[in-house]
Amino acid sequence: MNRVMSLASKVSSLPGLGVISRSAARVPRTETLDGYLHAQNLARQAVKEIASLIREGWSERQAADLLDTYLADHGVRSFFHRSFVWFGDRTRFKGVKTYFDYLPSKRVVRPGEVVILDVAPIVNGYTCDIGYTISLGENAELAKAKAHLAELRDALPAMFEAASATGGAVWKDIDTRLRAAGYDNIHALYPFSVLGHRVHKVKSQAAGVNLINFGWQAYWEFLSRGVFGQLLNGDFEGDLTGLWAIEPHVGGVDFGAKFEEILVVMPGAARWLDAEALI
Amino acid sequence: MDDVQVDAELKQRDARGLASAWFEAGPVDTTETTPILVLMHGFPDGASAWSYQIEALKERYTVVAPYVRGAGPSERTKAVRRYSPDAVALDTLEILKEVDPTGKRPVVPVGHDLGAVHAWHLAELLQDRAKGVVLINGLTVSQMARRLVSPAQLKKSWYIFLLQVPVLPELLAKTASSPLLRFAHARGGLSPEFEPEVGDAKNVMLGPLNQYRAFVRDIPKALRRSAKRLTCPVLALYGADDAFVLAPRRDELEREAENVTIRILPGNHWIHRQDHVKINKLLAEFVEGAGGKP
Repeated sequence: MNRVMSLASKVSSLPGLGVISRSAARVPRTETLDGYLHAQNLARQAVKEIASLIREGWSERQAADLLDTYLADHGVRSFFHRSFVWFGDRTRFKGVKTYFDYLPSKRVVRPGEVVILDVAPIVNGYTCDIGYTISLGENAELAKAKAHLAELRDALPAMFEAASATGGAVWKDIDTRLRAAGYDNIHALYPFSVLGHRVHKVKSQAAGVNLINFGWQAYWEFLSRGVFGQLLNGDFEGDLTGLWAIEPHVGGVDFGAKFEEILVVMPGAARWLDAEALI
Repeated sequence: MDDVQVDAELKQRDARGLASAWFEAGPVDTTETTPILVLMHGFPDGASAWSYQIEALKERYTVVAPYVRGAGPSERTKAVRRYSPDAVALDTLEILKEVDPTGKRPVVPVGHDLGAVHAWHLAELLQDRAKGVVLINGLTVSQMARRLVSPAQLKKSWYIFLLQVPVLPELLAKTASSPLLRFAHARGGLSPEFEPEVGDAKNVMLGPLNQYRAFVRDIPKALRRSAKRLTCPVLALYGADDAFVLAPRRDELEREAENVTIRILPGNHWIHRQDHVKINKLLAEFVEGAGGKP
């Protein structure tokens, strides 16, 4: 299966199949990058605002609904994916057995617990994907984990820039670093074990069908572009050029922490879309 | 809104892209412990419906009476979602940031009619910052949702279904807002001398119509997500002769709150106007900590 996924990740360079996802493997013009930046800024504003409101007693679903409401009230009509919110040990997916368990639940937040908010609105056609981690009160372990995430963020562009860079190598490098720091690799528990995925400008922002928290645009963009060329995991060997939502997720004893934001990858160079981190 | 006489300052600010207005009054010297009463009006009402409460309670508490989205000077929008309980709660939190930049003062949401939905929603967001919630002849979303199978409640709530129809309610509100307002007041038993001053009847009939559409659309969401049961005291006041809402029941409210007191009183749907002296006394007692089970 891994060999299949490796091959499929190179779909943009396979004879005759490059037309499927070649358009993804390029860096948009500056004006287009501004569109992605605007989308990401709105998503950041939203997660920070809702995070600031969360109090003991809120449920995951309540927080997720409010985050979706906030974005809708700011003009968002469609989502790559709607809000995921996880509290406490669910931030490291404890108890998650099926995909449905990832969805926001009735779990209520308690003082000191870690909270992750993750949402991917489509703003004026531009898709972004933001992950943000806080705690409800002081949490020294989370502070340490966020410091490590900040180190990973600093290191990631250079990993993509390396002459020998493949997506799989980046994935494995991140895995090695976080384990060396004493954390578990929680993004390995995501569907397809993704460290990240491509983001695109979509043609239609019609609200449409929303299936298990993902909008129809997500399914269309992935399926129409060959799926595995869109997902950055340990088997990815395809062209890395383009825009990626990168989301390293580390696991402590009873919590997880992540960040997620857009990385712009060019041949031989990479940078975060926004130099300022939201960690 | 010049002809709406309420002895309070009318303020306005941008709340997430739309203007939101509210009356605010209170003692000059407030501390971190001075409660803020947030009074959420129903339909067809505006913030002036709380004029008696503002007058009676402003000496001791900061009293904030927002014009809910679309009512009075609170900006209207075609986007139905901006009238949802979640959106109104977020807007009200923006108002609270203005009233109390520290974010520490205790809050007591009070809601009448549909305003009860908004008061409850606000309390759910505020959690421990909400020191109590008062519902006056109004229900929470969950209560209403569960009553959809009650023929007796459906018979009283027929107008909610009419308001889901597109265009027609707006047409009626534009062409016949004054007679419709008089009809609503008369049906609710409100004597003319106690009717609140609303200025142009369209202020309270037309603008906030989408609240009912948003409220109905929100029902599935409200049922599938449950925050922790409120631990603060809940006081449900009910004028017994209510043409629109059946009396609150303890089993309903105890699904959502741990400490519930229900007072069934002689009076009508607008009991906080018609019998304001008694209601104001009960509110003051409640805020002072006299709430609890009967």
